[in-house]
Amino acid sequence: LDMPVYNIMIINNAGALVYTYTDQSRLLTSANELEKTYSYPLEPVIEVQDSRCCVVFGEADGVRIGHCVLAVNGTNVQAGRPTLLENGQEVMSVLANPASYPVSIKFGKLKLTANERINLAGMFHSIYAITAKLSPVAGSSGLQLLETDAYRLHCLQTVTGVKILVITDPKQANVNQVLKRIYEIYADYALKNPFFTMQGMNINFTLFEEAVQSMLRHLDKFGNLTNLAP
Amino acid sequence: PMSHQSNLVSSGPMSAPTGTGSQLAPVTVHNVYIFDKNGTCLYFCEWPSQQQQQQQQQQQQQKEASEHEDRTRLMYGLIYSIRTLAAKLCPVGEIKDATYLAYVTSQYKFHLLDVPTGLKIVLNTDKSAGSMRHQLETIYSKIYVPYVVLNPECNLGDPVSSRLFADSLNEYLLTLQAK
Repeated sequence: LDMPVYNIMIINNAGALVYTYTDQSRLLTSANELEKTYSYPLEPVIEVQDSRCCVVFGEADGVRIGHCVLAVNGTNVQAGRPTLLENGQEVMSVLANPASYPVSIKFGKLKLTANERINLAGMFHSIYAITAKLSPVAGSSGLQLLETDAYRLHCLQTVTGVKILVITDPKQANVNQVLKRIYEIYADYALKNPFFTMQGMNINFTLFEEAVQSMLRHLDKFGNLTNLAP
Repeated sequence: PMSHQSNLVSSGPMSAPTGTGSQLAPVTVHNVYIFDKNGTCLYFCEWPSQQQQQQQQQQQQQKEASEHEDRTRLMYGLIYSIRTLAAKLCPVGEIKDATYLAYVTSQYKFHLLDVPTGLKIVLNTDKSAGSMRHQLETIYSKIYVPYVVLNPECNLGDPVSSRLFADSLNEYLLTLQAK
């Protein structure tokens, strides 16, 4: 089932991430992983970037810049610390040692950790303010739509400064309805909830999640939210 | 040089090949920035609208230089952060080609082309513009490369001071805005 929305995030007015939803079906990255065997010296140049080992130079045979090391010689990297293998060795020292060769490296894309998501939310919060400030024309809002080849990021900033972000396929239509609906769900199931505090707490309410899921199913089935039951 | 310029003028509407309607429609360009891979602003030019020109004449001219430098630094910071954000948020497993990026606000649209050498070309247009990837690539390959890169007088890393470059860029952007 190809869900229409890849990601939903809600950032409060202080820049903290209070809710995130990720489409689980897209976490299956095995289709985009590849394993290659190399002899010494290593052809692709691998460096540590953002605490994970990535290819920075030397694209060949499907291995591209940005691919991260997922496993070396069959041993996976540790989940929390991708520069270390599960057996405790450091990836970079294994690759620098000629005795480990020929070495087989599995490349792929590492998914974002929770911490990274929180950092990205904060980064987005500042970017929003800067884009409003750098406008060549007076009176601009911050960025409302980010377009790339792979996805589109839509942002709705409410009057209270809360930002709702939705990441979708570039061809997905009716995302404004989705943004508005998420705002309604936030108002109904989070703001009106007596147990909800504004102190950067994560939104963890069953009814909130159920409402979001039901909205996504409706969007998937009908392509828009016009007849959504309240 | 003369034949070059006439080539550029006649190739204005060359956006025909991938011809979506938006590429032939007039686009209002607000300003252009060119940054090198170290963050130095190599070129900046703006085309303020009538209202803005009146406002600027009324304001003080003295603060403009430092304000401009602050703006370019802020702009480069924005470019760096937005590229990091865009790369990290990429949802599918495949690493896609990350050379062109655009964002829209309520008043303008920002386009960024990342050239393999690390050069970054930024264009700010009105918000109804479509994808300006093709136009930015044209600016790079047909204006920047011939007039700056291939110019023995222009040193890499120095701000562009070539009049030929400025004039042909101006002319190309006017063809985008003309109808």
